[in-house]
Amino acid sequence: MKVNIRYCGQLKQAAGCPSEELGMEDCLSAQELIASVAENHGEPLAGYLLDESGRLRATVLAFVNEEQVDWETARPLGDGDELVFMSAIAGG
Amino acid sequence: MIEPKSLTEEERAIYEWQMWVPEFGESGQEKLKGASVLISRIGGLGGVVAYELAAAGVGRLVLAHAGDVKPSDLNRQLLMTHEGLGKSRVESAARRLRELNPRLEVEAVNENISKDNATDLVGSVDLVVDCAPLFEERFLLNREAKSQGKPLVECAMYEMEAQLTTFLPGKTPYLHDLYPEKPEWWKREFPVFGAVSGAVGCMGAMEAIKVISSIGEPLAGELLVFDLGEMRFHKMKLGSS
Repeated sequence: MKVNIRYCGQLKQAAGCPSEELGMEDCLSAQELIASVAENHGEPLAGYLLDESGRLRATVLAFVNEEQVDWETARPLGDGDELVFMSAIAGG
Repeated sequence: MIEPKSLTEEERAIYEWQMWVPEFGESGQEKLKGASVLISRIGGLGGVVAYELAAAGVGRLVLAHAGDVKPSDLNRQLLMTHEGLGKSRVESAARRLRELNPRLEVEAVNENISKDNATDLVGSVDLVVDCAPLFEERFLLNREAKSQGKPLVECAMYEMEAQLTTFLPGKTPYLHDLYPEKPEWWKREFPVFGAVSGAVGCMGAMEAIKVISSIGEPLAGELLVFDLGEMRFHKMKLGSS
């Protein structure tokens, strides 16, 4: 199974890429996938995505197939799903 | 509460093409004329918002932005001019807007949104557009707009990306509900093109027009995200599933 991951805002630089494909053997919850992405990348992306308690940071929004998900979302992600990480940005 | 104002013959001539838009008509134009909008910062984003709202015939604009024009403003702050370098940004903006629309009532406030002015400024308008670069200002403005029951159009940008949404009282979260904390990594100065701020500024103005005149579908509960580097546009549904 493959899930597409996309990074917006400053997360692109932290990830070192605008998007990537992640192969999975089984469906994962959003929480498991986010934790897996953070672990695979390490710093600096992990620090942007997760807070000190290991949860998704309050300054990052996550969307699965264009619908917002939070850390507790139980919906499993499967083949062909897209997970988008969006960091808070402002004006100027 | 917006009090629609009847149009003069000159205004009917000026706004003729937009009054042809279905569902808008003269009644929509009267609502714009009777409306007041606060724009927090009139730089790259807010300047374009202000210009488009002035062009559309909004009756009154309140512009809040401290400081003088700097060289680095001129890649995107379309209400500023080279001759205005070193002079008040908000005064330059007011002058340029009046050149386009001499009927426009402009209140130029040479201050950024703060706890000292937010209540009065938000209280004096029907709708708020947030274009500020600092999260402290954005959160303060959002809290005040939510507290006073005022709709707020939220515009943001970074490099070639932008985000846009509209917060409606009692119907959607506001910025501090979506993002309970300020991102530690955000800097006041960041990479961006004027074409990006112009694009999202125009869209932000259209959101304001839609809310004021009750036409179309504002981005309530949705976040428009676009990347002009890839020409990718998405509408994300807000609210966790």
